[in-house]
Amino acid sequence: MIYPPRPKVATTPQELSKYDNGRFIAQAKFNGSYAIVHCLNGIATVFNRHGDNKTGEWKIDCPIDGIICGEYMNKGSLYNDCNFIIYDAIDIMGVSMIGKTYEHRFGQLRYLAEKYKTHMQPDSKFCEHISNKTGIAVSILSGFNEAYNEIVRVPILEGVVLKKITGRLLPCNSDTANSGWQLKVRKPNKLYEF
Amino acid sequence: MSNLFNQAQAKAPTTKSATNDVILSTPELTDQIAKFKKLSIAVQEAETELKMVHGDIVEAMTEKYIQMYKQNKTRPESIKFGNQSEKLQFLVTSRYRTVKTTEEADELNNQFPNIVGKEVSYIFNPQILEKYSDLISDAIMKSQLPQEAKESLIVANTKYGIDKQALDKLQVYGNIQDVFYSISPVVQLKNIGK
Repeated sequence: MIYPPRPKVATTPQELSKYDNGRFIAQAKFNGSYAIVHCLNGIATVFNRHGDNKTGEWKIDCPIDGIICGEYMNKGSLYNDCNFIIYDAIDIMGVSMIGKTYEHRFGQLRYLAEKYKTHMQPDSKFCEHISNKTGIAVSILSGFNEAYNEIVRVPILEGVVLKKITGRLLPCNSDTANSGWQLKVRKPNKLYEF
Repeated sequence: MSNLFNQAQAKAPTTKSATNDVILSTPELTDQIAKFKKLSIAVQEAETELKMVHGDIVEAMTEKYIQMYKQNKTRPESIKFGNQSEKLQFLVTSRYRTVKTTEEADELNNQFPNIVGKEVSYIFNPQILEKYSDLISDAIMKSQLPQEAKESLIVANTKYGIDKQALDKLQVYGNIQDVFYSISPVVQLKNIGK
């Protein structure tokens, strides 16, 4: 079973500026379910982060071959008309990303997203369209407080995830293997208060 | 009379509903509650920051370790580093990531030949052993077990493990950096004072 890279530790919005130092990027935290998509020639086999096969149930049109990680928007609302938003990869076009930095992995994804882009949907600040229903998360390089303040106003966004640019992907065989280079800042809701 | 299962069910405690929650006014604890909340948040913020700082140091030292390994073609024992006032020790141990499945073992062995070893042990299937306990005393000699049971009597237990000595010969397997991150040895940071 693959334990996909995801943030396990959290901090408060008041601490955001501490990480706004050029060494982290921020991405919106989308309110969906984590999806690991094994994509080959446009055919996707989809798993949730618990290893359950969701192929057929979660309909994803990922144009990038590999083991692609992203958010499947199955909680009632899409974001920017996307039902799958890519933010990381364990394998791209048959090349393992283990040991590669987040900058390298996301750079490859961005390059391929641009190459395979088929959809000219107007882009939002936090997700760019690639194909019919698939998008890629936008990396914010600075101004984390401003981004967070914007995100809290969007119901389908849960907060921000900060990722160390130099964070190397380690073998995905435990839930905490890749928690050392990313953290989350969630907006408070009825059930969650930091 | 109902059976034991039914009786046990009848005795099982029922889950309390939320309406059973008691709300107490505790003015005498006001300061302590505020302090508890404030400290809990401060601890979590600090723990998250510690994890990120730990990650920074491990990341930087791992790069240096690999660089030294490449230069000297041999594994550095441990690295003491820091400045005049603060020092730490960086250790890379011979404990590696777990390899749970044949697929994982094959993938690693394809990249770095023979880095994963296989150990197969055989145990008796306890269900079969119990089922035929009267026969077992002499069955093996007389071969009176049903063919089907004979075939499933012995269960193979396969365990995979990275070669214990792998860290001493990374260059033998391939690119030192690629091998290092793929086998992901456990690293330790020790505070060694001034």
